[in-house]
Amino acid sequence: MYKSNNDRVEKIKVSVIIPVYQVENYLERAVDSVLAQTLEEKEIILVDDGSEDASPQICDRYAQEHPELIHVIHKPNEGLGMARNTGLDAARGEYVAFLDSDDTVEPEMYAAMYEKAIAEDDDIVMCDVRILYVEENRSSVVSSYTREEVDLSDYIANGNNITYSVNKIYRRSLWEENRYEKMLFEDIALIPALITRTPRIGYVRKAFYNYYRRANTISTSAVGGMVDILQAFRSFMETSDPKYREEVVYCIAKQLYWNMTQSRVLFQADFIEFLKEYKGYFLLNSYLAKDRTVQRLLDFLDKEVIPERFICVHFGRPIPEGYLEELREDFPGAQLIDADEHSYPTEQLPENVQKALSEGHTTYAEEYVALRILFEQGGIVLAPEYRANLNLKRLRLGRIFFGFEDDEALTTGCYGALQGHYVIQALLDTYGEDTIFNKAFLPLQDRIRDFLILHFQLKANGRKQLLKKEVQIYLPSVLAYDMQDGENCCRRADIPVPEGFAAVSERVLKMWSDRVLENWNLYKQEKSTKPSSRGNASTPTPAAAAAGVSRQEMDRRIREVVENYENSTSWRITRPLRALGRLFKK
Amino acid sequence: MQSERVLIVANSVYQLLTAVHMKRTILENCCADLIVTDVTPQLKETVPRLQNTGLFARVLFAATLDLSRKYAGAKDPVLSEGFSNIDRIFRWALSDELGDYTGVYFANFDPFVRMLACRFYDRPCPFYWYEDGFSSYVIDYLREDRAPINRHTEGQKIRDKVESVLLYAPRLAMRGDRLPNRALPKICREDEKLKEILNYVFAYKRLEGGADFIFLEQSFRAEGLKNNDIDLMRECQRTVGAGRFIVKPHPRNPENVPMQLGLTRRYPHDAPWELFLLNEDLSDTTVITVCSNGALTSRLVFGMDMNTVMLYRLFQGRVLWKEDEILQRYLHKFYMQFAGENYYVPKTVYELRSILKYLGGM
Repeated sequence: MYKSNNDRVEKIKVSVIIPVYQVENYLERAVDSVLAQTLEEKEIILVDDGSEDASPQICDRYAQEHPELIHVIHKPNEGLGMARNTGLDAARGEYVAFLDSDDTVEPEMYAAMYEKAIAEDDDIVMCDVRILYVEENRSSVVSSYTREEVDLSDYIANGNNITYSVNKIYRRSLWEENRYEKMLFEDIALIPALITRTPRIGYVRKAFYNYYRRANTISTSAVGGMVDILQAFRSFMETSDPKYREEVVYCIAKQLYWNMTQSRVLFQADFIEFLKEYKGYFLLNSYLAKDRTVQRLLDFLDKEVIPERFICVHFGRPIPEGYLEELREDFPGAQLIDADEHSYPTEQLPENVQKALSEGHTTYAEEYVALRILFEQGGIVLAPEYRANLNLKRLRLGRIFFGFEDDEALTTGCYGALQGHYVIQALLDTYGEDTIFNKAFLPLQDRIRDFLILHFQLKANGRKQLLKKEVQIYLPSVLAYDMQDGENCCRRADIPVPEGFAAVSERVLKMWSDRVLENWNLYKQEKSTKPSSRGNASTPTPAAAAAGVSRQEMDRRIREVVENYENSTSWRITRPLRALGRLFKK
Repeated sequence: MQSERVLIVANSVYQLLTAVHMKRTILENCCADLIVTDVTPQLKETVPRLQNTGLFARVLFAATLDLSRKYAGAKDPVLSEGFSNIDRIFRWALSDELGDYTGVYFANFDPFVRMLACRFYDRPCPFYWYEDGFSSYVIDYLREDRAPINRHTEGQKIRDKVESVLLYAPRLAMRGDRLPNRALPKICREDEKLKEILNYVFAYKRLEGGADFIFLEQSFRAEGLKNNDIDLMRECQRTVGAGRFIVKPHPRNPENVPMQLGLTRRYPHDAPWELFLLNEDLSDTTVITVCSNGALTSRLVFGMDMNTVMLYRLFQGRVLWKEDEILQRYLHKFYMQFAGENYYVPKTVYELRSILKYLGGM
């Protein structure tokens, strides 16, 4: 019930819940769009989720100006889902709707949808969504369904916007037994499953909801918490009405496919694990069998992924400060195996490892134990001195990976493998052999490098290599030092440097500058080559031939370098200047 | 047993050392003539000293090098001409007449020894092939496809005469020629009498100015084989430090290339390697080589377990041996069954560095 201007208590038809968090620049636009609704019998619930900008004050001002319409709740920050739940607790309307505080709604939205709900006695009514791509200054409308009459099976399988909370109004009684979970993808976890359990659904074919899509929002940028999307899919799968299982699985398959190949490729390994979890559902799905595009998803079922399990071995020393925090931030769902000197009974270790321990060669023993756990369980060894970042997820798509520490040495700060991988097994076996590695308690990095040279023809040159289509070797910039080229997955963190600085070994620095110079020279060479002599050259240059590089390989490398330069920002920016220069030359 | 009279032929220091050792052990009770040849030029000067030891009834010198040059790779007509003139050849080559023998001990199947086999073919005089380093373990010298002399009627008579092969480590033999292998007793480094004899024979002087790491060069350059032994020497020198590294040049290489390249100072000694092993305290010395027999001698002959680094896994280039594969198998067998605690076969240059550092390098 609400009080109208003439103090008459009337029925509230729609409660609009607006969670508010750090949106001082958008909030007024959102609230104004609700105030401008043609539906009079409404209330607006602003749930300030612990904002630290001017948003709380803006909320309060609106409440003051529209005490009969706007209700403000201030609460500590808990996230979008919890804020919506708080709004639901306070809502009094016959129907409820959600509006994100940086979006807007068209003036007729709630009136039209409420009318539809009443006319058809619907529990949920939905509309279309207009997506406004803010940076690109364009928009497009995404229709929710092809017909006004909703066939629920067909809608779940083939409809759009099913996961959105905001393009719908809901009978308030639906929320007596439903609440959002505390997670990043609370919509996906709840709304589609709710729809499967709600037979009466109406649809107004108008793009009433304006979704402003920007870069760097939660939906467009990569953060570790995004793995929540899998939990959301799990909830969707588990809490849907089982009679729509076929449609639900297909709906998830489509979203998975999009996420894996387009929007969240970084998380591909996580998606593959999910796919395998419900392998039977996906393989037997009749919709997927007919959809040639989305059924490509099934190809991923054959792909093995390294588990997101971090192995940290630290004998006689604690895990350094920051290690766990950084790990949790980027890999919230990861398992951590925290192994200290008590984790493995000494008598279970090989004789020479026991000897190493007794003689104080702790690192030798640590490295053995890390290798052994890696073999037994699979995962990623992350030494206490190293810090991983989100990019490391990409490396899980290999079967086994290592990285250079400099132009010759491999790092043992971070490396990973599938459970029971034969290379790790073979490396473990070498601990029982009478070799210099065991006699002199040499570091594991020497053992791995020499093993790979012998059995996989590793070239100790600091370059990226895929050995026998099995062992992936990365540059020093990937697993040892962050050279700010966007490729880094893990870096050494045991050398204290001031903020904004990084410690890089002399050898790596030299190697890096040599490579930049080499690339630059290749580029210059290519630019100065006449096009006619470029195309038909079938023999390598004398220098290339001497280096054992084929003409094709040279061409490929030159093309790569040229593309890098021409796609670089500085090259693009200076293009007009170069054009002017050529003009003057003429 | 004194009624037995044997002949021993020695072409090299290694063979001479074994000859002296055999005379003092398995042939102790025999009367023995010794022939040293010009295959190793420095042996000639040992003749009077060998005579003075009283170990041998007679010590003869034989100029067999030219015989080998002429007949080792010769075709049938030349071989026939040679084998039909054995007595004449012997008169020119030998410093004295041969006697009648109840056994002949030799180490190489060279034309001279084959002619000896023809000379004694019909007499009750078995031949014994005694060890000449690892080639005696891996090469079937009499296989017909190896050389025309093995297919020649006279040249192959030695096959009928050889009764057994005497080796320091018979279990390592893998020649495939079905000749029975017998054990030669190891030489005891504490055998002061033997040491005294050999030092006298070779006029050995104590080594001064040695090094902790000795690289035994091989005769690849003399054979005209392109290879990376200089790179390997450089790697070793860098790892252990210039002052502690020295290269013992191979006598057959025409120039001391490692020294010219500044990889080593001059090797201060021309004493036979085996004498060096016998006399010096080598507990802190490491021998490095591609696959020189000299590096294996300490184990084969003396049963020593000195630090030895074999670089054959890192060697690039054509190998002298036709039986490359067998040699590899032999070296592997040696490594697996015989090498002891201080024998290293690095498989990568990084492993080599680690080994040298472990053995006291920088």
